[in-house]
Amino acid sequence: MINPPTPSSGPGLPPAQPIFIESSGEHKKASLLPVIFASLTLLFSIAIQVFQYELANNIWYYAGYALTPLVITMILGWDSISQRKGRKDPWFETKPIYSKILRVLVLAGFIVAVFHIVAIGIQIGEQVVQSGVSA
Amino acid sequence: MKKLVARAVSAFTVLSIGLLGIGITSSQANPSGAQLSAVGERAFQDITTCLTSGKEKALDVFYLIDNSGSLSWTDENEIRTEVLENSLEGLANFSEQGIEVSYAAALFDSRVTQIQDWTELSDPSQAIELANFVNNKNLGNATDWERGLVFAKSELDARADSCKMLIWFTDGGINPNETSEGIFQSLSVLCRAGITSSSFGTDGNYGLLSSMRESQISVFGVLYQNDASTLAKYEQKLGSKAQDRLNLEHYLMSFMTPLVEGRGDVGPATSFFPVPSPGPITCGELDENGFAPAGQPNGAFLNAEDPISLAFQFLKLQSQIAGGSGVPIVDGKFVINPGTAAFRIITSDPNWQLAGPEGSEVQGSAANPGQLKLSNSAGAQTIDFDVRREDKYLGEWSFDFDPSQLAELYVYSGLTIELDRDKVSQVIGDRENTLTGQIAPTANFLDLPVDLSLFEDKSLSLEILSNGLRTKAEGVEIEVSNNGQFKVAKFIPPQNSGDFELWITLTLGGDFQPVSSRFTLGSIDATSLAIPSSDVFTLSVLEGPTGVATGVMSLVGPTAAESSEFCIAGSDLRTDDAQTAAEKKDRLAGFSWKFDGQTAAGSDLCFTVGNGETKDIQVEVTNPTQANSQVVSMRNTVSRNGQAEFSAPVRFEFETKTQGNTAVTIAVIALLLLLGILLPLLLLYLFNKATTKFLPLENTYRAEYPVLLTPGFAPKVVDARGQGPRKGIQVEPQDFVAQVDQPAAAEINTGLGMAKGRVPIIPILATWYELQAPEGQRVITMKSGGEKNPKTFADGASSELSPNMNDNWALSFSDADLLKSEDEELPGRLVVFAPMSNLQSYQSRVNDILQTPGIGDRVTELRAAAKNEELAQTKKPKSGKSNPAAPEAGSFTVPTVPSSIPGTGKMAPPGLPTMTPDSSGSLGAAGDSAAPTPPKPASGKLAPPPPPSI
Repeated sequence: MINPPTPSSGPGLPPAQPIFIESSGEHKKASLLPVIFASLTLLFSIAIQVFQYELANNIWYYAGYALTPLVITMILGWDSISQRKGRKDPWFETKPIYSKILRVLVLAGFIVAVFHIVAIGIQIGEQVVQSGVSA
Repeated sequence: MKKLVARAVSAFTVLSIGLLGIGITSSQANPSGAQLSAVGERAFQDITTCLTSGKEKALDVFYLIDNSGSLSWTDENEIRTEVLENSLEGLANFSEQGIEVSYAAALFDSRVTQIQDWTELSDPSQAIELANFVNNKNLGNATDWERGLVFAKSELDARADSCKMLIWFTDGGINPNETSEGIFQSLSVLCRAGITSSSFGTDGNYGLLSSMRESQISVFGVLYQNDASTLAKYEQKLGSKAQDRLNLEHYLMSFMTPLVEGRGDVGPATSFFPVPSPGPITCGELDENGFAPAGQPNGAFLNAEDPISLAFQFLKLQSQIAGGSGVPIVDGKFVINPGTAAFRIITSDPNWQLAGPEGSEVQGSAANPGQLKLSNSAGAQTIDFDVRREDKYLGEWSFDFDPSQLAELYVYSGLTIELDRDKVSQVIGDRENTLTGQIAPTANFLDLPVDLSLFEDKSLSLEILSNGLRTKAEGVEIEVSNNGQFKVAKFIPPQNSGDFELWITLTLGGDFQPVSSRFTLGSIDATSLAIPSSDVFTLSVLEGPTGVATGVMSLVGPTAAESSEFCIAGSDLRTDDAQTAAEKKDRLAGFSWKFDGQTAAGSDLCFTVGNGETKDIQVEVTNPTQANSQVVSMRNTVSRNGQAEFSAPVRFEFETKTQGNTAVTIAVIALLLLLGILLPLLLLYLFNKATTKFLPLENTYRAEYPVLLTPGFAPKVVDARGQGPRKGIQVEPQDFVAQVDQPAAAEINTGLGMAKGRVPIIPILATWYELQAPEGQRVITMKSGGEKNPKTFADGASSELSPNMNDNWALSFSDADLLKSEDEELPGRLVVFAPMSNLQSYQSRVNDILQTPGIGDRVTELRAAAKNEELAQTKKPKSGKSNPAAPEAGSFTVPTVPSSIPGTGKMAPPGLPTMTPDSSGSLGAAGDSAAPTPPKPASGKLAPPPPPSI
């Protein structure tokens, strides 16, 4: 990567200092990884709902709850921070579409989360009755 | 020769295995033995149905093995020893499937020698022990079919209720005592009376083989027809008469087909000694299609003249008996459909290759079978693969083989029928009965749940034996659920008393073979017995761990006796707890049953019901473990009155539901929503708040220019400084002024207004940065848009910015100027931010900004917005901000047009307010007037702008 040119000194001006701009030495652009991880997270969470009878264990609802919305929201934050930090580099290429996709994935994750939450709620409500604590 | 014999014997072995269904070829259909006759195929279906029927499945196999002297040349190397061994090993497969297999064996020549009494087959190694008795050390002198078959029938008749199978192996025609009289006397005993050297006798008085069918014995006859060795032997003994003697041997061998299958052609003609003319002969009762009468098993004849095809057919039939259904392989491709539990390919090609659907990762060949299970039998290979209904194995498979070779595919559903009644049980003759059961996985797929929705069809049919024919039962109501439970209601027996035959057949559609089960039901007159009012009782819902499912079981007392005892079994026959939740609870042992207050726990609960009395028995079921489920429980009942007894299962059905604590459920859902959705949203909002900041100002330079927008159709932004002709901006060295480095901030006072990072209320929406124009000003910046803050972006009160101030620029116009005539030059201010660079770069950047397309259109929109606002102010003078440039009443209002860049369809770039260092050196708002022009440098290269004064 080429750093921006250092301006020359003019009359009456202090000598110009070389301008250092943080750079990795290559053309950087926003990472696709958050989108990939978020997509996989959402797919995994949906799969837990779809294949709940094959999985045959209530613990998977908790796993689904952790994935969506908790993990997927964190991935959105990851993308926001990484893209914002990247802007310090003048050659950094932001990808607003990635952020947009992630927001859609997070929203979808919230919808999937409702199914996990309701399943967990019903299950705990039944366990309370089963344990004899309450009818 | 040795190889031929070996193959033939191997084929025989397969046939023996064919007890399961090892192949048998019919000479009727194809003298070479390549094809099985229709009767032969039916023979295997019959044995399959038998093995599907009843609860205690048992298979008795008797091996009747030729020990005549001819074996010294037809089986010189005692290949039949290996054949018998392989056959028994094949039988062991049935033992593994939960079928109790027993076997016995005898050798026959002019006498019968039992070499194995009835023995339960539990270990394939038993085959070796038995096979050792089969050799050429003690061969007899004749081939007395009659003696051997009579012995075999007596042995099989002595067995208890089971599926009976006779595997009869011989290498030559009937010849009990080397005389023609003896031959025809034996044939009269075996086939039908009256067979002589000149006549086949007459129909009607059938012999031993017919009585075998009546005794439910399935006969599989295997003839090893080694003509080459036989002819060579005859030539040694008889010289020129050898061929005629061989013809006679063929003539005598040909009786095997009618004996085994009921009808067949006898021939060819021979002059060796007097025999009846060649022709068809019938050795048993047959229906109009040539099959054994309904209820009797058919037999199958297999000719071992062609060893490889014989072996192939043996394997094919074995596959069919095991429930396989033939599916064509077209151009080396075949499709495995949903529901398939397994498939088998039988091929004579020793160099095949098999590949599964994409993603299945199944690949195998004869040399390297991989995941495929490969076995060889007398030149034919079987390739087995367990699909186990896994999706990745469904779809198109490819099987690469030599088209000149044989290859056939068989698919298995892995399902069987299990009935709640045994194959011999009772029904009440004069009322509607209910037959119940379930479609269950076969023993080798016990871990696969039954899901009939996977199959194209799941129809169940009921047939009864009527006038010797299987006839569909009318008026019955059949229910089949996807989990395999089935119920046949409103079944009225065809007769009020006596036994009758009944078949239940499940059709799965597609490529799958129907599953059939056969019963013998005894219809009884129940007038002297107490009987339940129905075979099916539905109880109330069992809800929660403390709930009780209740119902009434009504018993109807006898009408032809004073009283009758009715007993309910203390334990259930089976209980099916079809839970709907993902996690199944093991709670079968938790069901507690009470009948009339008495707990059913092991011993039978009996009640006495008087003549004409209707006794209601209260049924109560509890289970401390709650679950959502449909429960079906079968329980046997017995009615007794003296010698009269009626036993039948009764079905109880009820639903179980879970009980939940509603308050806890709602609280948990609310908490999880809070933690899982609202909290992340809040955190996301706070995160947005914390991170939506402009990037730090580092080495940032800024320039501000007074500009004019020229009137006309092609407005241009030109420099407003100086006099004379207006043209573009010439950047001077002092124009760009260094800005004070600042850390990241959410707000920056640009001088033309506040540059702010904006966070939406809904945090999953995108944040943005905007420049908010001061009162009476409108701005255009590098970013256009109406999506994020459409109201203020449209009228220019604000405009979107980049978070990196180095990327930003802004054009600012006052409302007062915008309200003036469009024919006048429009004064404004241009502020440009840029990273530290040289004069050339600055000039290039300013030129780019001035050439930004769409600025003229955007200004038109701002003029319209200003006029609209002024008009609104005029109508509502007390509200809104003052506008000194309000148009006169009745003036024309330019409608708002969408922001766009002409020719591009893109939004016009909005502007950023300029910043100029004030006297204190801080960034302050510039006034409406043009900023002072920095002095032009004397000469030389452009120096970077001086740092701002602080």
